[in-house]
Amino acid sequence: MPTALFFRPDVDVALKYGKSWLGVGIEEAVKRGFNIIDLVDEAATFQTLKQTIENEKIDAVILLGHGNASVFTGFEQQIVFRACTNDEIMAGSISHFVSCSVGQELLPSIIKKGGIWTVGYQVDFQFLINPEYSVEQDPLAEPFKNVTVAIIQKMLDGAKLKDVWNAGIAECDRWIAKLWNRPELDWAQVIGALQHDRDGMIGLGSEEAYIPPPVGVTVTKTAPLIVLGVAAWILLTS
Amino acid sequence: MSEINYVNAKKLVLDRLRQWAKELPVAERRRPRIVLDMKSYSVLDLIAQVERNSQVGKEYVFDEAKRLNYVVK
Repeated sequence: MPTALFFRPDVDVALKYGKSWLGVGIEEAVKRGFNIIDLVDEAATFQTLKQTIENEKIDAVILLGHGNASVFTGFEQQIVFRACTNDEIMAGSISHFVSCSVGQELLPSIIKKGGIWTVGYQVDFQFLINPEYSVEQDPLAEPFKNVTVAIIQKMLDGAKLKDVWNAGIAECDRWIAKLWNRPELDWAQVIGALQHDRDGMIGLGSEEAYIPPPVGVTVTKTAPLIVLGVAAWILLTS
Repeated sequence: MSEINYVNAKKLVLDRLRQWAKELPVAERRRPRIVLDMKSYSVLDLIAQVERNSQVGKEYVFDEAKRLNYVVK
């Protein structure tokens, strides 16, 4: 059974949202039959990540944290990766970074060191929030949650790099079109942030690799029809 | 896209931010509303960043101007 690793420190307002979005990603991974390793809060450090990657076969790595062009941080902004330092542990990985600007230097460095493919942002990641709502119910943050979850779902479905990247772009575009005629400046800001994130989304690495989906847990829409067909055949032939 | 200088872009963006603040209930103007570079800002914080020409404020002006179809020269 494939394993998905989630890395989600929660120390401030922005990360609380990201942690919740990756929580939805975990539910999606469970639905698909993945094993889950969830490095949350204090466990979201380089040491724990390194130990986990060295000891387990990880198929998908989804990471949340603060970042800039060359640095990605975890719990309490402790450095996890600096371009050209530590990032060799990502060799052989398929990953998604929900973090600012790591697409400029860190992600190319990971790919140079043997990372299979990765999707992230080469700009600062922007989103809107409305603290009147809970993190999970916040309507201003919903489009950004959906973009993140769309990328994770596509990865877990075994899509290739371009299709995963396209899923993120398509979800941004879907929300931009949906909100286009809203007159409130709150929503104009949401559109602006979606455009910003979309234009800064980057995919790097092998175009052919994908995460093999779990075997034997796939439920398709046609499955109930097949069951009905078999039941009818048994009734008719008995 | 039309060209605009930074001074005019800043003015345009500040006008929009002040309009945005007016649309919000008074108490909401001081509460986090936008996350830039994974840090949260209220609308009033953001107005201050733009006024001060901080890095965050400048980047916000460039982004907003671009979204409004301007190139800042």
